[in-house]
Amino acid sequence: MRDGYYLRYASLNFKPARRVAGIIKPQQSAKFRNRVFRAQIAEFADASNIPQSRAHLNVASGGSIEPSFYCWYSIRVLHLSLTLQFCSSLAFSFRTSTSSPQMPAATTTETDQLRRSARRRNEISNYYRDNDYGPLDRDDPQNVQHHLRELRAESTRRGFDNLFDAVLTAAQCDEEQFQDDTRDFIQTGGLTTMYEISQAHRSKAGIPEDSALRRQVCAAAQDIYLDEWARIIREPSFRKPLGKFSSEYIESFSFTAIYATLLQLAPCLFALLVAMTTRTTPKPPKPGERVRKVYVDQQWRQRVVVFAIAILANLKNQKFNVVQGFTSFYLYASHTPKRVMAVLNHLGVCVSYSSLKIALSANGEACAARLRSVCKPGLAFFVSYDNLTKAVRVRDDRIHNHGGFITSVAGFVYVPPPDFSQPMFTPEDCDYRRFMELNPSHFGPTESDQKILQSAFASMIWEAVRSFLQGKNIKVPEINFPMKFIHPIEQSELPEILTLPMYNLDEAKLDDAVQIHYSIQEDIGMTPEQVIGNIVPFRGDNLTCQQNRFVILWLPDILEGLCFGSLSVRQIVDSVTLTRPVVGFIYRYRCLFYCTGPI
Amino acid sequence: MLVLLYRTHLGQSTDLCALERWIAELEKNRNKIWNADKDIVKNFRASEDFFEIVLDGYLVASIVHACGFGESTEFLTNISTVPRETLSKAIEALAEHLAQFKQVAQMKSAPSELRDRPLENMTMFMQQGLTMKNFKRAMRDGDPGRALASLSYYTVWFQASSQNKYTKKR
Repeated sequence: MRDGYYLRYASLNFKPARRVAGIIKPQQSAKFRNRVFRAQIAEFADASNIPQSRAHLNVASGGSIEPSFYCWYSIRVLHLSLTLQFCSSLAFSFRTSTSSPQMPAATTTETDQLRRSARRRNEISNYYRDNDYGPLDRDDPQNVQHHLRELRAESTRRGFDNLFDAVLTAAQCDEEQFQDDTRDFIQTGGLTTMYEISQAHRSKAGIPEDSALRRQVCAAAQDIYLDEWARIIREPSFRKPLGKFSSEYIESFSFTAIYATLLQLAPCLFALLVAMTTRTTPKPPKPGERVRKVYVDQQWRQRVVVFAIAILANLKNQKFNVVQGFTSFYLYASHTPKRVMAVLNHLGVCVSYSSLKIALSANGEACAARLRSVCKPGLAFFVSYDNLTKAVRVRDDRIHNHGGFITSVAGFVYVPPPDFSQPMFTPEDCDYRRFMELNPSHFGPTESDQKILQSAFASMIWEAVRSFLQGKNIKVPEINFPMKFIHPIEQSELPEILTLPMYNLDEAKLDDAVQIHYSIQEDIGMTPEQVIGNIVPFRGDNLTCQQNRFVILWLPDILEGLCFGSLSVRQIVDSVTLTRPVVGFIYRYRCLFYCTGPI
Repeated sequence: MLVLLYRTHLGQSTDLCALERWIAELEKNRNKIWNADKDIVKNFRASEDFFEIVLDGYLVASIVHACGFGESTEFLTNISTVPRETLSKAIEALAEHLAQFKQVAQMKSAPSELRDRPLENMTMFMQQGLTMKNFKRAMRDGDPGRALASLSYYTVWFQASSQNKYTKKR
């Protein structure tokens, strides 16, 4: 049972008793309690002459006060000569009668006379009348509110405008303790919590209208944004010199990856940008229009935000060219005129044309370097090339200005993924004698092909029937004819395709065909040992294969007119046609006649 | 390959199972599909799309017939009553039938009064169409093993056509 309950109940109609009830609080010191009690007891004595007061007092004391107590009051014994010892003992008697375990013993020895004026006191002399909540209990909202009200009242009483004014004054104070408290409050997220609470209660009217005040509010966050902006500018991955643009760097370009990096560097800035660029309500689709998926808008927004950030960052530091460099490459590949690129450069969209040329040269050198390192690991690869004929037209055909065709050779090197790689082929890996065993049945359909097709046919037939049924909104029977995989390519391990430089040669001409192989041999960086001891497979169309095979058929006749040192013609022919690698033959004897037939 | 198939199956508008007839029936723009002057397909996507529509129609019609129905509407109405095993067996039987590429040659070897030319054309159309479709699907799925199965038949077809240089590439 809480302290003073009965007394409070009794004091509903009895003012003196209510005041007495307020006196008896466990939080009050004995000195203060006795002093107030003395002031009240005089009124209490006056009021005790009223008959009904006795009854009220009886109820207020819980019925535990002896009847002699009333008599004692009624004969007006208690008057100005009441001693402090008596007050203390009486107070102790009240506390014990209400079974308060917190009530301390009143053991004061104060004997001062109670100061009184002739005027009757009307003001409330007990400021803690309702303070029966005890110490701060955060789980009890009423308790917390009560303490806050007291704090606010106290701060107002001490001259502050309100509680926050007091807190703000403390934050501005030079005393270390207050500064520590302020720092702890901010570091532990108190400021964020307060902002979120204010956001929860925010209304449009809550946003300041005064522009100066708005700037003042925003200036608080400016340092954070500038700090994040400096992080973005300093990020080394966004400041790649155009001269160091490599094919790997170009292939690694991704708006999503850049956005993720930017988001990591500047979370607050991007939170603001996201809030600025996100639609609060989705755009309603038109009748018959399919509903766009959310991620499409997300990717779009990311691209736009990254582009905007890149242009602004480039304005701050021209070395920030993560997007401008790739945009320039795209424009160059799209045959954008030089004058257009100059205009876009002034808008910060792309780099200048001179810088682009530097980047292209660097990229070309990087590609050439990678191509020259193909043979270093000693792993197998193959080369494919073909003629590339381009029509070159002129607007006005003149004597010295004719339209025509440019014929060149383009090709690539296929490097298999690491799991499928194997050492470069040697002459022992090739048995050209088995060419004689080849016949049309090796290329025609087999029983295995027929079984594969039968399974695939069943799957495709069921697919057609199912589509037909689904188109008619008819429930599809649960039948399954899965498409079987025979030899699927591993999607996670992609091969590397390295493009060869374009050769100004014509493979239809035999001399040029030989020169093509010399050029390829040089560009892929084959060592003399590899030229002699290894075989490089070549792929090509009918003409390519025909040109490469043509020489070997006529080689014996041609070689008879040439001198090859100590080797006989027969040995050379054998080495070329049967065992010796063809490219090695070229390197060794510098002969124009060789063969690189498909293996 | 699409050009080759169009040249083979274009036929006349009066033929029972010819692409020319289906162009008219389906009200397709012939000029967008086939270039008669150069004897090549004009728009590859449009031509391929039309070819696959006809192919799917043949396949569905064959299954409807195999399930014992005369009309596709009847098949749609009673599909719920058709046992799954019946439908599965019909599909398997048709796939097995089409995978036998000697079927058409055997049908052609019959006496002329017993030959069913529309059926021969339809069977060959479905065989060649499915083989091409398998090649396309295999390339899309990244399965060279399945693509080679189609290529082995391509080799023979190209060798028999005027475009026999493709056979040498094989």
